Amino acid sequence: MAQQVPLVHFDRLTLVKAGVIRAVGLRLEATGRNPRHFDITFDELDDGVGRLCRCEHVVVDNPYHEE
Amino acid sequence: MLLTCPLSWLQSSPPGRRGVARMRGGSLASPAGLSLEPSPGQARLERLSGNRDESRRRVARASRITGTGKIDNVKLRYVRGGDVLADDEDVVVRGGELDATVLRQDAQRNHEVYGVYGISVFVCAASHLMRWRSRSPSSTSTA
Repeated sequence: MAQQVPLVHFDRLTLVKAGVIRAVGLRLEATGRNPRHFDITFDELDDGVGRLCRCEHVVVDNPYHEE
Repeated sequence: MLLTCPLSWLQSSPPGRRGVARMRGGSLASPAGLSLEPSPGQARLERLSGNRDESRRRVARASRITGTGKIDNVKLRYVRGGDVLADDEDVVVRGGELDATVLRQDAQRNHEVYGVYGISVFVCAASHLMRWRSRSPSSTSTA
């Protein structure tokens, strides 16, 4: 997955457990044709972004990164 | 300039015109020429399939309704049914870091297109990620 578009274009990737996202009240919806694609959705812009930024996460280098 | 007309004009106008009038009056329940409810055929299919995916479809429709004022401009999202994520086994992968400014812009862009604030991500199994992380020279944890 990381070696495919669009993630391959990012030199860093953020990883968050699905349960962590749900625990802060955000929704995970399976959207689009790609079976691995989801949307994190919320109703209030600032509140939703704030909750997502506060999620426990890990940032890793993308070993497959290409410009 | 504000234009007004007697109520009787609206009552005698065709259904499409009445729909517009209701929308201007603050109700988006039935905009002219646009139905948010499933067609009879869709409803029958949902009954036959045990309504398994109905909750997901409802999310998509509700999201569309909350995009007030642009209801005729938003695209319907394709929401897949039956994809269940495990809290600890599935990991959400987002390109880049969690930069509030970037996330805000992406969520707003999603809202303009689909009528719902959303951040696009990918999901894979935690076991699959172990291979990435072993190839990755560094990682940073953040709470």
